[in-house]
Amino acid sequence: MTDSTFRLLQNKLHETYELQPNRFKVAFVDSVFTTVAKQLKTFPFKWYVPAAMVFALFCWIVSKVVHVGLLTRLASILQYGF
Amino acid sequence: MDSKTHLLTQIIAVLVLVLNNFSGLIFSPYKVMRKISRVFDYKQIVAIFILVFLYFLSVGLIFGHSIANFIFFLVSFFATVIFFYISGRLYKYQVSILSLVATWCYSLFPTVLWFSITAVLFILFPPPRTQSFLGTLLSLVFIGISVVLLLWKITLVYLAVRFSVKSSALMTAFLMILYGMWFLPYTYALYLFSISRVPFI
Repeated sequence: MTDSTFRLLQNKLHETYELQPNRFKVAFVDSVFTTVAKQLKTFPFKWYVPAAMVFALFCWIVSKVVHVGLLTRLASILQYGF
Repeated sequence: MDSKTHLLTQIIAVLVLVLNNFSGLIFSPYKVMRKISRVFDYKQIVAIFILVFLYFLSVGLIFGHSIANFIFFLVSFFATVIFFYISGRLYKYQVSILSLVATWCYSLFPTVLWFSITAVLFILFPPPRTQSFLGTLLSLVFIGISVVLLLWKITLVYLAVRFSVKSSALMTAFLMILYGMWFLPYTYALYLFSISRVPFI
């Protein structure tokens, strides 16, 4: 085994044991957390974009039905926020 | 190689590294944040601070905002780092302050992006938004973008704390709630004193 391969393996081993695994003592929570975390580890935008669209549509529906102008008011407030 | 060429090469190398990490935070945030937490490169940190300073400078020049906001950003940034360092130490974690600085610096990427987008939109489509079709459509798109960047920011903050403090998911969430407990009143105070409406952190 070359020095570089050894160092690579050593780094991988360190990475594996660097953080304690997440255990919640409830099997269902463990499984949900593992599934969600796995999805968010690579390109999380595949979930963020639909979630944001749903949220924006929800705001739009609320602004139409319950609170007229909520959506535009929220956007205006945020636009002054920079 | 003369000193000027050497300096230029160094600057380009740092910019390439920062851009590479930025793109990595889009495609594989977990892996890249872990890498950032393990290697501290002060040049990359300086580059990100310069990027943030350029944002404050350009907003100051275009909109007349006070450049002193950059000082408040620095205060918020280092207060955040110190808070997580002390709270991590109190709970007996092996916290690395350099790792915290590096990961928090990189978690500023969605913040800079949101503030820049908002500033550009302020010029192109000045508020207030109307309830016409186009006004509602723009509001929908803007809120959508804001939510995407907020979710990404929360993920990066979570990863920054998890890798720097080396805490479990529950402990990381607890530390983030503790952080919110003093940071939200602090943000409100900044708003009351007309320093910033949305905290730059």
